[in-house]
Amino acid sequence: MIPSYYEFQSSVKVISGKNALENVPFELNNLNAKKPIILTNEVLVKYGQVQIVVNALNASNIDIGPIFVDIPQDSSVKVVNEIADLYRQEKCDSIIAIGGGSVIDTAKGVNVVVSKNTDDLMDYMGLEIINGRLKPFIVIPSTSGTGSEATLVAVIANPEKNVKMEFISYNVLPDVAVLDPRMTLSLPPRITASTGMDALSHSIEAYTCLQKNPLSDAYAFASIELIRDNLFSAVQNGKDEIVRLSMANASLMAGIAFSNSMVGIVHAIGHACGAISHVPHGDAMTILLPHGMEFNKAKISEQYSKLLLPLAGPEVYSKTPDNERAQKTIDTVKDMSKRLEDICGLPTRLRDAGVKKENFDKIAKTAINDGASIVNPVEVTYDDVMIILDRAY
Amino acid sequence: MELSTCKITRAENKRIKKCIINVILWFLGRGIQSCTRFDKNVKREIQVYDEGFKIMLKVWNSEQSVMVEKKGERLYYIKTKDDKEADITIYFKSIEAALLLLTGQIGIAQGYAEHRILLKGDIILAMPFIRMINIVEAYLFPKFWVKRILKSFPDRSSNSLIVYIGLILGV
Repeated sequence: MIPSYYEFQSSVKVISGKNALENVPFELNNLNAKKPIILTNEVLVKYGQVQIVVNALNASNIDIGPIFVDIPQDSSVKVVNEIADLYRQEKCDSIIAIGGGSVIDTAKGVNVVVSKNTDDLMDYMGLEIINGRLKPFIVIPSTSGTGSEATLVAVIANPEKNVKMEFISYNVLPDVAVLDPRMTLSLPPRITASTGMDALSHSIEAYTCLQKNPLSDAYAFASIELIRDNLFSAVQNGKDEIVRLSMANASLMAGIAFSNSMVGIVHAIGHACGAISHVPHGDAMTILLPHGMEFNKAKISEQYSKLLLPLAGPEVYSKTPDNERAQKTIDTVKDMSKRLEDICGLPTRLRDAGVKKENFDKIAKTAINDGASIVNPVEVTYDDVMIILDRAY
Repeated sequence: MELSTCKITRAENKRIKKCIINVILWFLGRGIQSCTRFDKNVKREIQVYDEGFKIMLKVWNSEQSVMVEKKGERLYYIKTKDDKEADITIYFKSIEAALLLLTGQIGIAQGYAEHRILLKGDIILAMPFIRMINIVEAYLFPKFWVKRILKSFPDRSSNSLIVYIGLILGV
C-alpha cells in the first residue's frame, strides 16, 4: 500500500567494485574539489587502506590536506571542532572520510561546521534544519554495517553538556560513497558478524517502521537477500572479495532504506545499551533484534511474513504456512544469531555483552527518549522496554 | 523573439486557514497548561525540563505559533512569537501540514513519519514533550478519534471536562 505521503532521497553517488578507490581523484574533480582533508583512524593507516587512497590521490596530482587519525570511538564535538580548525587553517575544500560509523559521523559534523562557518554545532541540532549544500564529501566505509555512507543522520557527543547531539538532514548526505572490497578484507570475523547483523537490523526495521515507503522497502528487501547469501561466507572466509563487496552493498542499501524510513524499538534500546553499558552497536542489534520483533509482531505480522522470503529464501517461504511466516522470520533471525555465536562468539544475551540488571532502569528511560521510538509501529513505554530487556538478558 | 508571459494570478489567501491555526494553537497552549495541572502522567513527563525551559510550536516561515514555558512543576502558555527564545522549536512545514496535525487528522508520530515537521533543538529532550502532546490530545479530542490517530490510547489520570474547564479559565 502506498503511504498517503512520503519523502525519499538517495542522492549519494555510489561507486562499487574493483579499483573503486582509484576513482576517488576523478570524483573529487567532478565535485570541483582540489584539496581534501582526510579523516580516518590508525587501524586503517596500519593495515594500508589509507595508503591506497593516498597513492591514488598522489598519482592524480591532488593536493592532499592533513590526514587526521585521532577520532574516538564515539564522535565528539571537541574533535569535530579541532578538525574544522585544521580544515580552515590548511584551506581545504572537501572532506574524505575513511572508516566506520564514528569516523563518518565526525566527518558529517565537520562538514556542518565548516560549511556553515559556525563555532557552535549545537545550533544545528535537530531534524531537517540544516539547509543548503555542504562542502564536497566522499565516504569510504571500512565496515559493512552502519550504512552511514548513505544516511542523513549524524550523532556527535557533547561530553561537557552531557548530550548526544543528533543531526538529521538530507543535506549531510555524502556526495559519493566508495565501496571497494579491499576496505573490509582485514575485518575480523567477530566484527564482520556484528556489523553484518547491524545491517540486517537496519533493513528489518526500515521495512516495518511508520515511515516506510515503496522505495525504502525495495532497498531493504534487496539488502536482506544479500545478507542472507553472504554474511556467513564473509565471517568464515573474509578474504573472498566478491563476498566482501556483496556485504558492503548490503550495508549501503540497508543504510539507504533506514535513512528514508528510520528505525524503531530495536535501535532505541540498542542506542541506550551503548550509551549506558557501552555495548558495541552491532552486538546490541544482534541481541535485541528478535526481541524487538516479538514485541512488534502482533501489530505487523504481515510485514514480518513478507520478510521471510528474502531472509530465508523462496523454498522456506513457500513451505511455511502463511500464518506461521511471521514467527518463522523471527526464528530465522534467532538462528542466524545463534550460528554466529557458535562461529565467532558474537553474544546473544545482554548479560554476555556486559549489561547489568541494575542498569535496566537507566537504559529504559534513555530508550523511550530516543527519537527512533517515535516511528516504531507499536507505542513503546518504559514498562515495555523493561520487559524486553529482561527477555534479552 | 517575444517571450510569452503568464498572468500572475492572485496567490491563495490563506487568512482563514491561519485563523483556524491560531485558534487551535491557543486551545493547545492552554490545554497543555491545564493538563500540567490536572494530569499526573503529564507532570511526570515534564519533570525532565529545567526551570525556564521553553518549547514552541510554529508554522515554518509564518507567524502562527504557541510557546510554553516551564515554571515550577508546570508548563505555562506564554505569548511570544520569537522562536529564538525557544529551547526547542517544532515547526510545521506548511500551513497545510499544521492543519493536518492540529485538527487531529494525523497524530504527531505520523506527522514525523510524513516529514510534516522540523525540529530545532535536542530531539531527546523533545520526546517527553511529544508524549505529553499525545496525552493532551487524548483530553481535547473524542476518544474514538484519538484511537484513530495515535498508536495507542494514552493513560489519563483526569477527565476531559476538568481539563477543558481549566483551559477556558486559564488556570
